[in-house]
Amino acid sequence: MNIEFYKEQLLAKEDMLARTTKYLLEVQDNLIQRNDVISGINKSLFESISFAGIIQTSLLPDVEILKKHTSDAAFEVNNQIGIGGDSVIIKESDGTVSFGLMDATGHGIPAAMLSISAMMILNELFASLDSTQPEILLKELNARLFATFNKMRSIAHLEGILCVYSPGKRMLKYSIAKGKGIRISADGTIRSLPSAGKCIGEQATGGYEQYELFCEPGDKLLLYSDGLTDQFGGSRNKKFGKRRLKELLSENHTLSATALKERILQTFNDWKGDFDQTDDTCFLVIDF
Amino acid sequence: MDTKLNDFLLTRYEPDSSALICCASAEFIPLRDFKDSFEQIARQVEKFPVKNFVFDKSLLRTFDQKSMEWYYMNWKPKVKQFGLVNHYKILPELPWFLEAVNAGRISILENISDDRLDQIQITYVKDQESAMHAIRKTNGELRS
Repeated sequence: MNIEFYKEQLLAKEDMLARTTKYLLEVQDNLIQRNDVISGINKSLFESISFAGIIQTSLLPDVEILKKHTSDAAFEVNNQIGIGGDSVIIKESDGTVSFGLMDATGHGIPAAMLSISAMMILNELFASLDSTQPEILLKELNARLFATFNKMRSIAHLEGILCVYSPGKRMLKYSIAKGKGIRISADGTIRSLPSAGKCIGEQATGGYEQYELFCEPGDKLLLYSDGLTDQFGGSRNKKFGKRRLKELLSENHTLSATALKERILQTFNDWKGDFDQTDDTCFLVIDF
Repeated sequence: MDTKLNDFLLTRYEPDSSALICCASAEFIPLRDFKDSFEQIARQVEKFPVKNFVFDKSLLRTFDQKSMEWYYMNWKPKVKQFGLVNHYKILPELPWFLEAVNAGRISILENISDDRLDQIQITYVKDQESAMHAIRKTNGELRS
């Protein structure tokens, strides 16, 4: 190789470097412009979701209604992105108070739309049906949701529990649609409610079992969505699980509903730590 | 068997696949040597039935824009007349070299009319084995 070879190679390298630098700067400019566009869209979406979350939160019931008929009550709704499928319902009618918890399939906006639709239908049913029979309310809610969303293909359903409490008789009636609940007796005994029923909106027909429970003073009830027990965290990134929840309830069974709610929330947040929230989370504590 | 064209390039003819493989054997090929070599190759293409051409540039470390412009604008149309239609290239596995190729292609694209865009059509492959596999598949020697 002579000097001319190296000279030509050097010139070619310089040209390659200049051309590539110009090209990469253009690519960078293009990426910056696209990033600006995406950031704008992201900001707009975030603002929209935040506002939707405020609207959904404002639709949550007033816990004071439930407190009027019980010793104490408290709930927490913590949807993953500020909007989601977990919700609580509280309604009072002549001499009874109804309450329940619903967990719509999925997360985010679609789950919130389903959850709000279900709550609106349920509010309508409370006005038009015998609101003291949770099985009837759930059966009709199931039929209407199936007809609205799942006629063509199964896209949307909810899990939940609906309860009707008669404070005068201290009698609780409840029906379960795969929802989750735990009884905490005044003596500290912990019992899960039966895992029963089918998801609301999943099938066109069929009913729900109705259960009855006499509530002693000091008895408590926890209704919760699976986001509570499915949360990953702890030192080994495991699910919080039902066993830990039961232990927590057992250790804190003497607390008021409000204090117990705070204890559950604190324990959940400690467990979650820096991990992402696994699912929408919602729970309701009632002290009879 | 490989034929040494000069200090910079080797060729190998694969008659069963109507393929000519051209392999760079240096980091850089001066423009005059590049042109001389490819004129020789054009004569081979004219002489033998060559439908497929593989240019293995994996040893190159300088992307020479002038050579490439000549390759696309002059050499490719010329060998197309002799029946060479399928072009495969093997590039060095160096990210900066790939960016240099992208930059070079942009410059060439800016200077080529839409009706001649087929001149810059190239199939990039990982190595010579992949190139031969693709050629056999195109020739119908392999089932897809």
